[in-house]
Amino acid sequence: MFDSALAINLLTLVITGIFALFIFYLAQQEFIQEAWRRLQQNTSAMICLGIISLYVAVGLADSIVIPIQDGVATRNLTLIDLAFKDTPQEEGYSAPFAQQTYKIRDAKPVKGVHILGTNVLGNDVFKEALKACRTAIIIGGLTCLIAIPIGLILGILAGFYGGWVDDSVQYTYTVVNSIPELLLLVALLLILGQGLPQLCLALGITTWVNLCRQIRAETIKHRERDYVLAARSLGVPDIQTMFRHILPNVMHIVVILFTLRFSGLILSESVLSYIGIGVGADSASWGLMINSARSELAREPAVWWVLIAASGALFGLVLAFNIFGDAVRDALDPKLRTR
Amino acid sequence: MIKIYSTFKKIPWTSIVISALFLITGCSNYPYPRDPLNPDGTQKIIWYQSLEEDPRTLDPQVAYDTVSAQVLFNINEPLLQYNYLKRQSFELQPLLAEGIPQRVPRAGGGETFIVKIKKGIRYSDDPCFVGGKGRELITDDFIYALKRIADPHIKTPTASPVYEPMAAVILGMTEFYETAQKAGTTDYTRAIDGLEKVDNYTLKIHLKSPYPQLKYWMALNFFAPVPAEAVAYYDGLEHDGVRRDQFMFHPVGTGPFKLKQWERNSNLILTRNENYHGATYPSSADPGTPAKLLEDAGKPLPFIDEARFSIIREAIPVWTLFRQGYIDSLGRAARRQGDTIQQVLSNNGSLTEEMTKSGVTLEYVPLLSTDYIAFNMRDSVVGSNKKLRQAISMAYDIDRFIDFFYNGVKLKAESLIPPGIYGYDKDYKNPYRILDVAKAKQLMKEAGYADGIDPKTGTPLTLEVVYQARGPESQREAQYIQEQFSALGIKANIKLVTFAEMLNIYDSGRFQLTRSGWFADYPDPENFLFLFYSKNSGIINTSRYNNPEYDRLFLQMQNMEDSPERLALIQRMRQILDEDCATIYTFHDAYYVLNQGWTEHVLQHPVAFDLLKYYKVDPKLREQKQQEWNQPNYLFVLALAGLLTAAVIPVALSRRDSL
Amino acid sequence: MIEYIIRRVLYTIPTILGVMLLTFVLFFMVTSPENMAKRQLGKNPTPELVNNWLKSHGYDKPRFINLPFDADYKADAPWWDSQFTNHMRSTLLFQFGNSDANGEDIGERIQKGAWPSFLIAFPALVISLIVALSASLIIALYRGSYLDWGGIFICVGLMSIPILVYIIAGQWLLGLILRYFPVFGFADGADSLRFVLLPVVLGVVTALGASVRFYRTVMLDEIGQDYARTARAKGLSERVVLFKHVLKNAMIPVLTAVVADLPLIILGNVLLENFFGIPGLGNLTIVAINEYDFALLRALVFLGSILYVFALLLTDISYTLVDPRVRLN
Repeated sequence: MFDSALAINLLTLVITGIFALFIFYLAQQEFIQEAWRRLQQNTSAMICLGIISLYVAVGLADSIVIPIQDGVATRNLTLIDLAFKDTPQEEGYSAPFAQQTYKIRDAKPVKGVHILGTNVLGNDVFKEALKACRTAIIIGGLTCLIAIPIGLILGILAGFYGGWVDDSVQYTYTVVNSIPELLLLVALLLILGQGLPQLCLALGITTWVNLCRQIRAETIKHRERDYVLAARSLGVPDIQTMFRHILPNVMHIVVILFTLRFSGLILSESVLSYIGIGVGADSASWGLMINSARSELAREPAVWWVLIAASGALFGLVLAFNIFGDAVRDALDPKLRTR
Repeated sequence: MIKIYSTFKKIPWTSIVISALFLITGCSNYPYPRDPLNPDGTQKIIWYQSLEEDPRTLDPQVAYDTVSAQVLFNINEPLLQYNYLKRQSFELQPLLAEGIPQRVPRAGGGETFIVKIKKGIRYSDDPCFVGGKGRELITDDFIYALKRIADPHIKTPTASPVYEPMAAVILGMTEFYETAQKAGTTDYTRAIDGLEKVDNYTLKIHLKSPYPQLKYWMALNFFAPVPAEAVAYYDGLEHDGVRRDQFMFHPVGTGPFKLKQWERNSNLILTRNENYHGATYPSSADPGTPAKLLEDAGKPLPFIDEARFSIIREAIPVWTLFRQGYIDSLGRAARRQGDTIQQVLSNNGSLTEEMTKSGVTLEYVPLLSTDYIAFNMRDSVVGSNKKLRQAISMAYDIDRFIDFFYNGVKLKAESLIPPGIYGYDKDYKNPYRILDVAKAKQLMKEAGYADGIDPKTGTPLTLEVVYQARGPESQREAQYIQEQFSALGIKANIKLVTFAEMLNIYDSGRFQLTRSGWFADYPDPENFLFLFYSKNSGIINTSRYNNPEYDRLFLQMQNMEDSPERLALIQRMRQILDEDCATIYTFHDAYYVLNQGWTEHVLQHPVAFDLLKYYKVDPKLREQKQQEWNQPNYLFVLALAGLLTAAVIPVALSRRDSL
Repeated sequence: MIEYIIRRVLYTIPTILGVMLLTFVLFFMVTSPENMAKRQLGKNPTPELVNNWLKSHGYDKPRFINLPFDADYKADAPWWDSQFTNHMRSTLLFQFGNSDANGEDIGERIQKGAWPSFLIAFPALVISLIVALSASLIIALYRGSYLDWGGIFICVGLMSIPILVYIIAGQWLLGLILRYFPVFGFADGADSLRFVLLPVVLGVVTALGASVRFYRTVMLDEIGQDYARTARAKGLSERVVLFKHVLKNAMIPVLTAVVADLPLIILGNVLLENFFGIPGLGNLTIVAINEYDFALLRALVFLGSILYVFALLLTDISYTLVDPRVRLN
């Protein structure tokens, strides 16, 4: 039987692995090394990088599973689960550091300390917010893993060959781009069904377009450069020219767009959760937490800590990515326009 | 360009101008258009309420959800109604009928209901009538309405399971349905044998077998008369080149109100029916009814001129509007709020001081309803394994669920029949609804799933639970179910679906477990026990329960009057059901309603919906309170503008010359 | 010029055809015509009734092309007579048919919803454009100062907050605490101003962060160009250079960015409309999703795409007006 929880843990590790390889590959490139030196001068960017690494570390910690013998059955716990093993489950809502659960009638004493309070099920909100890191990283990471190859390959092909290849690639992305993004996502998710991988696939389908367009434009610039012309006249196969010579020269666009888009993807998840086609009930996610706040805030007195915890955690990651993305762009290509 | 430059120079001023604009334009948070006046110049008395979605339909023969019913019952009246003030034992009163219909036995085992209709009742004025004036109500309208129930071509936005119970008893209904089905169109000139027009004010309904519950059906919207002109006029076809809306958006009835405006997704307004036959506030009530509720006894109804329903899907705006005093009542109209407003209660169960001070009153409304999680009895895993079902039922903790999600408002369900209905036993404890995880684990072992491990695969047993998403809480509820199932080592995959998809799934049976429930049409145990009658498999018998003994007992019990024999049958049926565990009983629905201080005798009713006519508001007090509560606070904007100015000025000054 | 416009209009035709093909494939994958028939026909339709319905709505035809290999081949019909061509024809004529959920005419619902959506989205777009442009000009003028650094930080901060949080906070602060605006409702005519204000303010705030940051980049990019340097060398003050030369040249990327938002003027903002009870098309979208109303959803997708394609066309044409050197090659 296919165990989806295990698969998603594996997926996180695989995504992280691929990104590690990718960064390793980039580190070989001279222009990246140079940009890295420039980036190191930028204190705020380095702080943000630290923050991002922290989030990624939390996400990874939530994907490493340790089997724990619990009576007869074996339970798979992640490192985050283990860290919160001794945090008791309360009877419903409790405010941060509260002594009692939230209900006015038959309020019960709180058994442990919850720095961000507990949610409706009495689970620790801090733990939930941490567990949602993994979801956010998968959404950003997997979507980019789907979108980057499509955008990169189509963009280079279109830019390099021109003619009908270019026309058909341009045509494809104009058509996809013409459909309002939200509606396209809704339609795709109704077809694919609810779930984290499906969500990433759908987001990937709407994300590759922008990348492809920019890569194509950059490739066209390089197509006429001497080194490409020389390689072609020497009879180097096209594939080799494209991936040996042009690819490294457009890589910076991938890096820039990736860092800038990542935050947008995490934000879209929260909107899709609102419409009811988000990651589903199985995974913790900030979008889900923010969404549940819709009714929590309508209580009297309001339950505010779930909203604060989720939007705070989301804000931290997105802000870090945004600032870091800006810095990366400045370091790599100060002139590139992106939104 | 110079222009932009000069405005830029005046930045400190612009922020002041903006704040001044604020003062002039945005000085009110009043959410409605200003109150219009009556033709005679007096102020209209308007009732303000919210609905959580558009009514699905206002076609009386189709509507089958509470939101539609809340609106429809004020426009279309059925033959009978429930006494507004009697809730301990429900009392049917004549509404369009002249007295309670008589029951006469028929040769061959059936019976006949003789329905006398009040004379001189007129429909509200509507363009579908000759000259636009509402005509008199006659027997034909009832016959027409009942034929519509048997019309297979009436489009149903939601499946309404009305036809089947009616066709089972009313003579000739099945034939009418099948002929129309075969022909592809419905011929309304064809008669139904069981519906006999004696004269313009007398209708005889002939039944195949005795069916005492028919009197309750006569208090439901399906028995509301429909003028054939209205359907012909508003059928969605073109008339003189203009496309008209469908009938389901244009109800025409005899009730105290008529539809004035319905802007889908926005609001719906009812206004007084000028031809209303008149009614008076009830003067008899349950013993112990507060005298205040009877103050207006005998006064003519309705008290209000208009009712304005705002369609608000989000919880936050509804709650905000109520606190601002712009909604008169919060509860059934916004059930999700009704579930959470216990938070405004203090330790002794009364309202908090702050709320009491603002005049708000509280009402607790128990409903005749039962919620459950149904197993699909045709499923190869859960359907054939009784021990497994019993184990899951024993391990499912509903008390915490009710506490977490409903603040303890709902009542835990032990069995199918809810309190208020004959056959309910408040001391009964369902052996498989006593929370006992240890025993449940033992049952799991006996069921062949020790520790929740499926021996076929060696991994945890995985079950799919289809759950209707009803708002942001649904995902949390799904997580709760997962937690509960994991206590037995079972992995629950929760599939959240929309209402529309849910109906498809009930209909097709593509599920292992699903949340289901029943809300009484009428206060009779038959209306609950039929949920597990095998012939109702589908939308009614969601779990597709099929037990010949149960079926036999059901048929026996169905048409009996309440008696010790009937009670014995009901108890036997309960025993069979509970032993088979086709469902996990969860709760009997109940909720709180908050009413503003300026409302009077606003009550909810477990089964009746024609309540607007009894409601009364004091518009003067309301206006005074609204003004008191909604004085805009301008200090903040001024402070903000000042702060912005302070932040910009030094830069503007310091950099002006250096550039 | 005329020739260019004609050529450009002709270019949009294949795009529209592509969009229609895509929506056809997408939506006919989600729901089969049999399901649609069952929902339209009421209680337990017989197979004959379903078949009749399919026939009368053209769903008995082959999917794409009427050739003998298709199971639904009709020997007496021409080769092009298929579901797809019918779908194309009706959508191109804006005949969206009836809603799957309640049988209402879709065209009518869209017409009704377009105006409220426009009332929210258009002022929000215009105001945010003006505010963002002026803010980015100021930031560009004071580049390098704490105003620049602080402005960018605020922008990035604004961008990092989900829109739901803005709405919840806005309703709480401006509606409940400060009591300036109604948190819910809509009215026609002059009265609509009250209801539109708060959603518009929120619409502007949510759009501001990303736009200011982007426009600033554009401005800085232009400031570094040769023409700006020349102008400065001529002795023109920084402000004149910025407002006169840079702003004009920056309009092209700005326009491109604005075009992407144009369909929203009609389609509306789903979340804002839902929370504020604006009966626009964004609200309708949610209804369509909740009710699985594919016919309605399909119409909205098509409408949005058409709007986008035409907005794109208009910008391309307006480029040539802003800057005569720009020509499509």
